Amino acid sequence: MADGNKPEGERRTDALAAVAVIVVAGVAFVAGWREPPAVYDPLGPGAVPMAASAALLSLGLALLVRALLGLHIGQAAQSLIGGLDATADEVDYPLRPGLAAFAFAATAAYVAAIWLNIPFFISTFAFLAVLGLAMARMRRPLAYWVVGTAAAATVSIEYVFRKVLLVALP
Amino acid sequence: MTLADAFLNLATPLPFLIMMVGVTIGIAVGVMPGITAGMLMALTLPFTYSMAPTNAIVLLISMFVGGISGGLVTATLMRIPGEPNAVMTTLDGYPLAKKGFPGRALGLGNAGSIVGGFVGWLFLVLLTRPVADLAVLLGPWENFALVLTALVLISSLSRGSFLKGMISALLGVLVAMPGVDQTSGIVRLTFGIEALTNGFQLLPVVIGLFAMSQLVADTMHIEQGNEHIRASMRGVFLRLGDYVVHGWNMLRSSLIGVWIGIHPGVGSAVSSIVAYTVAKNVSKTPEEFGTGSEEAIVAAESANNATTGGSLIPLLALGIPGGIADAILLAALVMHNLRPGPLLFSTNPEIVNTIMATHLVAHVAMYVLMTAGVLVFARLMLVPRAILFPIVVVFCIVGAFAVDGQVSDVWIMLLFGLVGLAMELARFPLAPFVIGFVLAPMAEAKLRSALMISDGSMWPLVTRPGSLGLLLVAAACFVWPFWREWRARSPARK
Repeated sequence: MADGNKPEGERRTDALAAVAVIVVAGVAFVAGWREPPAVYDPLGPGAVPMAASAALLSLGLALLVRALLGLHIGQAAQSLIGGLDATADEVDYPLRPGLAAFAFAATAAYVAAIWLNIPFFISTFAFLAVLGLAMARMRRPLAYWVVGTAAAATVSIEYVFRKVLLVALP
Repeated sequence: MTLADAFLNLATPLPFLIMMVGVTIGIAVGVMPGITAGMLMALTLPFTYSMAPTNAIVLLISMFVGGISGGLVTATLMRIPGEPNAVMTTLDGYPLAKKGFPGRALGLGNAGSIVGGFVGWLFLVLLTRPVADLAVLLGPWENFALVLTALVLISSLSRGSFLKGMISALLGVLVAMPGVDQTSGIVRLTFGIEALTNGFQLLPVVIGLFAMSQLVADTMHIEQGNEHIRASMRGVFLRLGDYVVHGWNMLRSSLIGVWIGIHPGVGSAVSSIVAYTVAKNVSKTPEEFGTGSEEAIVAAESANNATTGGSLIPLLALGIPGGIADAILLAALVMHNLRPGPLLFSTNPEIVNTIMATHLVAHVAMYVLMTAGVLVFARLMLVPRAILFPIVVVFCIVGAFAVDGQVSDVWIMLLFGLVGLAMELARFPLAPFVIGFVLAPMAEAKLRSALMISDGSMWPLVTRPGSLGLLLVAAACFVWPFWREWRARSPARK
């Protein structure tokens, strides 16, 4: 029954994912169990979370066992997020995983700035310019375009959302 | 409002303008690699709060139709699918364009798209009402069993791994649990985090899962070249004879698209793959597939547009979304205090008819815009990603914030961006997660109201024929992948 062709890395990823699923299901089960009973409702607020986490726990265990035994598990045939698992051998241009990590970190920093009440106008311009310049690798004339567009986009977003669409901005 | 009234309403200035804007933005976004129709709809949703519900629906449906169709341009001229459903179009659209017929390739795709759209619309109008009439007869037990069946079906139809599909759906169910329990009013599973009192909102979750994780993944590919074939108007308009030659292929592929669209969680990307494969299998010249086959382009584009009509049927008739875009439409309806499902026909017929009318008229608008404006849209695919991506991130943040005006929702969006990345890296399908998240509160409410009626007894679930039948379908869907694997591995069959 063992699938000898199953790559080691894929097995490890599946096993790690299974452990994460088991932890999440376990925490949710305990939290559901601790919920107080409801007065008029036969089930109470904890029953459905407990049932869902019990089912998840059993599927997580099944996934872990199959991953450890090297049995067939399979994977989503069609990724909704294209190109995430592409390797450098499969494409004819350099991949930039470091830049992708920086983009996420820059976004987190931008949200933190908003959270710390730094004015939206300033934080948005800084974010657009910094991330855009990193993506453009400071190459000219693209870098000039990036900064110019960052300024124009900040003004437009501020005006259109706040004044025209009456949307609350941070 | 009847269907005819809905068509007349679309002819009035404001709805018409909204529709044209929606289709145009949808096509533009479809053309730009890395931004999908679902992402656009999720980002637009918070800004439709202040709109009349019918106008909001017109905008979102138009974006859906435009976005699904726009991927054709990038697939044909750049060999990059602007939308996931345009993957199969790249295989033949680009080679045909490279042979010197870019206009012809785009024209065939447009023609397939509009025929697919018409067929999808026809089934939407013909099937939705009868299915809804049947659904009205269902009680809470049957409704609970129906949602349960839909969740199992979504997972079993997730091509690749049923186990991962089920886990994904159940994770979605669990994520829907924190917050105020609607039946008892008790705050549950918040772990003392005040921001979770209202639970996880749909938009931060969806924007994080799809938009943020897609943008991070696309950033990794930022060096991908902008080499492209110049668009041309020559051959964009098809002759009547072309429709005769490709008519049967268009119809067959459209029917495949509608059929696949009706099944929850499968989506237009799969329908174009199936239609492409069927077209190749029945073709007199299968060797031309992959080298610029006209049949292949027509099959893929007819199917993916027909899927839009098919996927709206379970949403309108049962309140069960067929895919991501439908889940966002469901959220839009809920946001405007509308209850999707069979009763929508009697409580808000104007919404049902607006969706149906917009689906058809937006396809006509899409055809006109894609045909007349192809040269303009083709230029959009050259917008530098260093400019585009950071702006889209800002839209994600503004969209997540606009839901409740809370920065905590933006953090939640970022968190689900990481969850989406992790799930995709481990190759767990994301669609069952979102649909599980959307359906869980509905399933729980039905179950608990049913239990109150039965004094806490679960027996009616198996003694009522309707719910028993649905449970048997769910059980069959659950067992089928394991049985198929067991049969495949059985030594006697080797």
